[in-house]
Amino acid sequence: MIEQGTGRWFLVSVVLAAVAGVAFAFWLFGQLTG
Amino acid sequence: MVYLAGVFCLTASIAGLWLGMRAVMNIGGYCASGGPYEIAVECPPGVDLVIILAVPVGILSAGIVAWRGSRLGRSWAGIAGLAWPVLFLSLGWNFLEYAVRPPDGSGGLVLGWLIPGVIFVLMGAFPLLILLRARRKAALLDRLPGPLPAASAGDAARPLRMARRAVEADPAGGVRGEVPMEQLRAPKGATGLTGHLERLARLHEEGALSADEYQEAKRAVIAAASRGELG
Repeated sequence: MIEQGTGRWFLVSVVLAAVAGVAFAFWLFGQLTG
Repeated sequence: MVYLAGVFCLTASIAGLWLGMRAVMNIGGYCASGGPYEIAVECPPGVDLVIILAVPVGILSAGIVAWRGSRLGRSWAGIAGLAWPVLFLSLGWNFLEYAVRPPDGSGGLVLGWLIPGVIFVLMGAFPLLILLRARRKAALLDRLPGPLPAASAGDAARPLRMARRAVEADPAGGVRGEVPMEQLRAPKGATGLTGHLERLARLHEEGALSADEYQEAKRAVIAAASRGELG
């Protein structure tokens, strides 16, 4: 279980991971199809 | 770390599918590549690979997010459940956008893309609504005290148990608006009969207890007080 204080930073990490995933997909798609 | 990698791969897969779908829709909605047959519409290079990879990677990473998330807490595991509405709403958006603005510039509404668009949006929106409703219910239940002692006639925990039942029965209407935990607990210095009665009156005003439940709970509290069972 994640503590309340740590949870906020973990949530930021999850959001960053999600955004990075989308950015990576766009980059990879550009490389493969470009 | 494995959880974050799962989230990364999951969003990358959904975005990859979304991009791949748009690329195929740009050339009419279908394509093929390779094989011994003559191909009418050749797939754009790389698109087939992206779509073929995105599906298994997406399913695998959703499993990883649910598995590792369950160790971190229920809400973290629940993020995997969001993948379904995100996937169907985003792909549904593609269908709707291309139905209104077809890539060949012909104008007008393309029914062949409008219908799957509406179906995809419905398939994404309904689970999302159910998910949000379940989350709201869980949040309301978290505000109430944890496991309560077993029921016995006229015990002091009865009003709270009734409030919990009201929330479980109707999370949207049982407790209207936000009822902070402090309101459900007796205020400091107002314990005993007065505190319990005030708390019940508040629950009744908030709509968590019906008039009958309020009267019943009030009688139970007064009976418990007369037996000296109230703290």
